[in-house]
Amino acid sequence: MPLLDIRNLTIELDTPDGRIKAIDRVNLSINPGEIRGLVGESGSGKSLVAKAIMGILSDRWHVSADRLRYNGIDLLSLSARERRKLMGSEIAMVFQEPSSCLDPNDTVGHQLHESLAKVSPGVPFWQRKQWREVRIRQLLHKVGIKDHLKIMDSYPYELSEGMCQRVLIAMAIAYKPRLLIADEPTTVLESGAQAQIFKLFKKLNQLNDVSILLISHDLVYIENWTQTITVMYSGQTVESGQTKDIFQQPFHPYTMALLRSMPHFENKLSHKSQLNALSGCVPTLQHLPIGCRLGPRCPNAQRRCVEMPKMKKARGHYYSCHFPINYDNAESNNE
Amino acid sequence: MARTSHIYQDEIIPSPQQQIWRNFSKSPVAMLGLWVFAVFIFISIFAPLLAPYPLGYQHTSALLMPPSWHPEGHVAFFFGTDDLGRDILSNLIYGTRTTFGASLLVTFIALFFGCVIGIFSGMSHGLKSSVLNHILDATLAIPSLLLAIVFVAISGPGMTNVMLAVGISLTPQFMRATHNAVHHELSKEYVTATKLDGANKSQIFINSILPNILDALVIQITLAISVAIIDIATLGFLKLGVQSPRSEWGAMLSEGLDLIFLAPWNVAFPGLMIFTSVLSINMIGNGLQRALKERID
Amino acid sequence: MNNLLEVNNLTKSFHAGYKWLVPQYQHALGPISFSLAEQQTLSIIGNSGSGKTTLARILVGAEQRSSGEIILEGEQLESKNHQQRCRCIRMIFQDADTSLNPRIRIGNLLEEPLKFGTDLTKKDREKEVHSKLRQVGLLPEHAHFYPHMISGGQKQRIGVARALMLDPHIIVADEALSVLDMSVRSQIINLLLKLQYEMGLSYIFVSNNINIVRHISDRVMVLDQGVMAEFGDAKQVFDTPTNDVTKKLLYNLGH
Repeated sequence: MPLLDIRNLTIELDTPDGRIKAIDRVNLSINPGEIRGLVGESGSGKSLVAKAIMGILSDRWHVSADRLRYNGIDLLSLSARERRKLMGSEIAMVFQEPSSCLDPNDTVGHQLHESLAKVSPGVPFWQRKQWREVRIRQLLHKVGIKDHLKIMDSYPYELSEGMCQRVLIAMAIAYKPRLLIADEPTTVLESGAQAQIFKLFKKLNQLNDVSILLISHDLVYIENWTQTITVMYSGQTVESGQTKDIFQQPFHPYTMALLRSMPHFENKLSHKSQLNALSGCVPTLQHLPIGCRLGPRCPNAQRRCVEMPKMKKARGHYYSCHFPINYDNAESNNE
Repeated sequence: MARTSHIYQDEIIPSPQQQIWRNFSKSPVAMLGLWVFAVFIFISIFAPLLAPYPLGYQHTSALLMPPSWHPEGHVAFFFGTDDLGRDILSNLIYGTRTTFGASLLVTFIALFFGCVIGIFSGMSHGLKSSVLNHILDATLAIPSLLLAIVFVAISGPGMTNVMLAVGISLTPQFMRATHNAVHHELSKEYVTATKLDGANKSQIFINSILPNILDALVIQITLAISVAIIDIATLGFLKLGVQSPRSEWGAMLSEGLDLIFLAPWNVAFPGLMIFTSVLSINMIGNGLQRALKERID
Repeated sequence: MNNLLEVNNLTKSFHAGYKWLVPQYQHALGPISFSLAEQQTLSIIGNSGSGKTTLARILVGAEQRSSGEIILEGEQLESKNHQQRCRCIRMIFQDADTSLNPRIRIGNLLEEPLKFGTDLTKKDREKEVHSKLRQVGLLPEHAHFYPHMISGGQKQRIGVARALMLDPHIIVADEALSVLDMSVRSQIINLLLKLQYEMGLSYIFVSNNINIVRHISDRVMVLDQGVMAEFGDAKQVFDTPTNDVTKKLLYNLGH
């Protein structure tokens, strides 16, 4: 049974022009012990999906789904209190800019204490502080911070971004969550720190059996560090499946365009030649196309594309396109 | 080549100024303040036409008459009369010119001088900037009312002295606000970009900095007007302002103070006018601050 | 071959407070020496804190060098003479949001260099602005917009258009592409490559994206803590790095 099962998630926004579907029938599922990547450009709505799972969207957004289940529990039917309880112990999230997620007026140690507010039962109150200290030391060592005393005494501005991100990950795994959602965790970090954070995620995944939903727009990292990916474009899922399969043989024109636009992947490009980029830009919320939202930009688009394509499956590889590419060799299973 | 001005945009996106106006007009409180402010300006300009009786005219037959809604009152003296038989309504209307109108004038003069100095100090660098910064900080510490009282005490009462005193006491505020705003703008990237385009200092100021500091200045202006009204009224109350027969709200307050139990309307109406005018300015100021903040969010 | 740009022994020290009333300086950069030919792209890579942004800003005039000389087209560049510089070497800023003045229209923004530096009439300026907008792939109507009305990718195109005003010979791009998405980045790179081919521009790129750098640059400079660790032909540096710093950088960035 998948740990996180999302089916036809739709997030709508009320605007003066009417209700706009920012996220249109997105499907996503994460199995226990899996690292899944959620790929998309800015404007694709990946952060919205993450926030909807956590339940931290503001009231302007209306969330509805056929299934939004975590471990069998329907998240939409929970009250706010029950949701918070679930969030505290089972799902954790790490955000993009680590230094802005920490209180600048407080030492890191004090904030770590705060995040461990709920002590396990059976610990008498005079031993609580000690219990927390021990736990914090363990957590900091787990995320790779050796000099924990120095870090605990510093303020967030004194630490580098990579260090702050590690502290935040330590806070996130404090209660041993089963699912960790990382929303572009390494975009603002240096390359050295980025590699370390990804190694940490891998370690958590293998040793502690934490499933990770890694949201990013950088395909290079996604290729190296995830097992399965879901590609989103402008609020719609476009393709989903095993990372290796998708990178070798993408079915959807958008995935293909993403891969081809990186010189890294396209080895046939000569030096200083034009890159293969899709013309046009991501549609704004006010001007969303009908049907498949890639329609206006897609090189293979035809009239049928104003009808939203259904999600089809081929050998464990999901795609939603009327005219998939690289398809002649694949057997198809209509779902 | 086709003239593209014949094709219109499907969505009209407002310019920053239009957006600020839209945010401002959404708030009923701010719009109320604006309307009251407009009424006051109208009264200041057309005072001689609006006032039922000429300035300082004493009706010896109607001393201390209560307002017209009182059984002993008369509609000819709408708000009643004071102990010398002067119609309160006419005095209030002429007083609008003195208190309200003068405060506007004083504010704009202080704005002009304060801004000029603030701009020059804000655009400077290094040691000069540091020294000017510290001097401006020191001037802010001077309490405005005390300065005004001392000035008038030295140079004698009278409207021009009052205006001068209040003007001088308001200038440091503008200097400081302009200096801060300009200095803050200088560190922005687009000002660097303009510098790299080959602009000299005055061109950088007019093209890049001025449009961006107008927000801060406008808020400062509303603050200053309310301070000016209160300062002028206070000086009038202390009998350091205009002399009879010219009327002024603060002076009316102090004259009516002795009779507060006999004829409370002498004190109530001038007080109400001062209160309303300052409140309207504050409502406008609040509305503007909120409108500017919403635009950034 | 005549070099378009020659930099000799450039250094930069920042003022770092006073000690016993004596001003202290912190050495940030240098000495750096290199040259750049026409229609050539030079990329500067290095860790954060290595001084690449400082070098880019000194070249374009946003900061002043402490010593050394910059010779552009045979002429010495003076430190504070922006008028002279803006005709030859211009910059595309990293963050398009903060480098476009939010209170003035894009058309006015773009005609500023023309207003300050040339004697063109208003009509001529307008024509020039329209032609540059078309060249970067936008419409002349965009001249009436305010910056907050357009998307991030389009703002960066405006940055490119502004850098193209006054027809410079060298354009410096300080991490101008790092905040963009991949597809928008590819579009802007295609635009820059096209402009280089059409107009004979030279570029100085400051970036850490090795894939992009490898694709577009002719020569590469690796900076480490203000010192030039390696400088040479791009292919050579990437395939056979000689310096440890370069090797570590390439490894970290995914090679």
